[in-house]
Amino acid sequence: MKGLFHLVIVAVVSTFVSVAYANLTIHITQGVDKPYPIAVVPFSSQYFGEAGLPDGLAGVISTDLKHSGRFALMPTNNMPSQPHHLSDFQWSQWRHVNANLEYVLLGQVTPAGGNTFNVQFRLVSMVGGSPLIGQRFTHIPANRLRALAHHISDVVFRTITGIPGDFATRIAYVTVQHAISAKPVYQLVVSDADGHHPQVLLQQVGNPIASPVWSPNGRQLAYVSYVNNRMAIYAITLATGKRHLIANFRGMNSAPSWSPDGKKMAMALSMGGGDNTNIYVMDLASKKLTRYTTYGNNTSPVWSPDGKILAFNSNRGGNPQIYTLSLATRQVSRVTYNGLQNFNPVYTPNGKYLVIMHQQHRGGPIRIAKVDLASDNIQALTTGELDRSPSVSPNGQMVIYADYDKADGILAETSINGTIHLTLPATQGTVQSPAWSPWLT
Amino acid sequence: MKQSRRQPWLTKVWAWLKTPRGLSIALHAVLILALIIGTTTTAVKIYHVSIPNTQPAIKATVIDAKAYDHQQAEIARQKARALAAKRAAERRAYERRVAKQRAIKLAKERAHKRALTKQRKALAEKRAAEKKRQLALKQKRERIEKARQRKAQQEKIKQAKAQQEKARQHKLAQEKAARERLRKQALENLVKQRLAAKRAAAAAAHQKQLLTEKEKYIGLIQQTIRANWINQFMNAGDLTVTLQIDLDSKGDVQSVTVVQSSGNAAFDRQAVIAVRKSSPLPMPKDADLAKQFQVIKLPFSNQLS
Repeated sequence: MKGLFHLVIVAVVSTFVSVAYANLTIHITQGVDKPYPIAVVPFSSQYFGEAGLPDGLAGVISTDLKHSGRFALMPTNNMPSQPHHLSDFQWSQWRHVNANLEYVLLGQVTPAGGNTFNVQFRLVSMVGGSPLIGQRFTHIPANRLRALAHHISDVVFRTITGIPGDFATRIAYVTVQHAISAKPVYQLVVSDADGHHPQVLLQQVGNPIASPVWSPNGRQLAYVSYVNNRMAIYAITLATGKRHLIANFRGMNSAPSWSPDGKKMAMALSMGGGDNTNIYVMDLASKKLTRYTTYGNNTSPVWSPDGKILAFNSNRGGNPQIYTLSLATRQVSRVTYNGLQNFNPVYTPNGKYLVIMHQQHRGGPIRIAKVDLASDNIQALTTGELDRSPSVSPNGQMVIYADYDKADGILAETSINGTIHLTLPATQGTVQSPAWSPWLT
Repeated sequence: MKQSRRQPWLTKVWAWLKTPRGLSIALHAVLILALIIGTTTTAVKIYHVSIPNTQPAIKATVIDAKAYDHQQAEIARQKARALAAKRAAERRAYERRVAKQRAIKLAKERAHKRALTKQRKALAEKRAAEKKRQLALKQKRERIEKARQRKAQQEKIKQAKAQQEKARQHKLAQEKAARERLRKQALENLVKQRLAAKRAAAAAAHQKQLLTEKEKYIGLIQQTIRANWINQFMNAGDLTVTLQIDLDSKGDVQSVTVVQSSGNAAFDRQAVIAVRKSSPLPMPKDADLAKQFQVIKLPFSNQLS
């Protein structure tokens, strides 16, 4: 009896198993690399222009998502309705309008008194059915609404792409305003990553400002300026605007770069030795210097994400090319061989690539390019005539640079794969040396 | 010399006696001798000799003592003489009687012996005759038995022959039946084979048709889902998510389950969305084939190979 029972069980199990494994399997590969169709429904019918949000929160979020190159936004006037809550959302109506729509962001902004607002949002998958994520914020001051919009963009971006969004990060850059009969005005500016909300951190008339770089904690910027006609390295604290001198050695003090742990700074110093500079590392606490190069003009040092290697450019082989230097062994390797000159390297956050300025041949355009450190292959990311000073976003997806195609330099961005290109809102004067901040907490 | 010549003979006898056969014969001889002696003794014992009581009865008489004594003595002497005479006579009579009896006995014994010999002879003769008769009888019986056996043997042979013939006939019949059966079977097999071949060909053709049909629909489903799959993960490292989907007969996606996650929630979700957007999926018209498309496993991989 027991044996029969077992037999029955075996028979049942085997039947089940055979059914379960008799499935047809169809492998799906490739797909289409295109933006996700999303609708960001306006959060309010009210006008928030006075809060610096002419298009409202949804406008800021839409621009963020659009600029990432990863989203295709449904035009507002194509939307069948503008619901603020999931309970008001008519699924079939929206599907009917656009069957390809994949995501909808619903939200609401309501005044909460004292020039503050309450904000809530929900991200919905058109085919998944249930809300993917939702958040609620209370008593947000009007001047923080833009930052909140960037935060929401980050949440949406991370949820859908699986990659952390860096819309709430910032960029630093230098502007130069040339006047016909006056000295040029240099400004060190910090703005939101989308170029909005610019704040002038430092303004100098006739005294250039160059090469701003962020400290790893995002609280300071190092930059190059002049003291008594001598190029020197400074650091400025964003919260206080306080400056302090870091390097003021004989000759040129240039190209500062903070180590990932923030304790050291790499720089290019001439030490009075003519026009050539060499790579040094300064211990910021003790001000002690260590020299790493001796031959040729060596500049633009940058730290690898693990802090073990410095990439820099050197003309020791003739024209400027990219080299790496192991800090432990002092061993130097040449990275680039392709092109007339390659310079101004920056690492991507994963350490796999260097983004550089690249000139293929004499008289040719200077473009932003990407060097695959595994293969040393160089891939141009931009198509301009003169693209300078690349800086990589903290999530490694975008590169900001100064585009000098026109007389005045403007801020432009390219995606790390070179498929997306965009320009940021115009600024006064010419833009130089943009630098993307690290993650800001 | 004489003794030495006699000694081998004794030794031989002794040796012979020592053999089991010699001993047996000697013992038998002794036994027979004893038996004969025994028998003779028994025969003698049959004739008893009875001796009669000759003692007279005594009578008492009262008399004068002296005279008596003398008288008595005389009487006693006379008596003794008479008695002795009487006894002598009796003895002679007795001896005569005994002799006579002995003679009779001897005669009787001789007669008996003669009768016995005669009897024995008759018995021996009788026995011999009996033996002869028995022998004749035995021989007769043997002859009869032999004849019977011969007859039985013949009968047996005859029966065996009959049996053999019967078996042969049976075998022949069987062989014939087997041949017939084989022939029939071969025919049937041929028919069956032809039928099976026909069916197999038809099934193969159908299968081939279904296979191409199946491949066709697999291709159609791949195309449909690919077109609806937004894959921004080309450079995101190796990612594979396996979905299992249930389709109804029209190809409408009834359910989508993540069987094995890629570990990247966004990648998994985009695969699910691709399937949902692809509903209804192309479905074969053949009902049997459509059954195979009711449950489908879909591994989505961001790598080409």
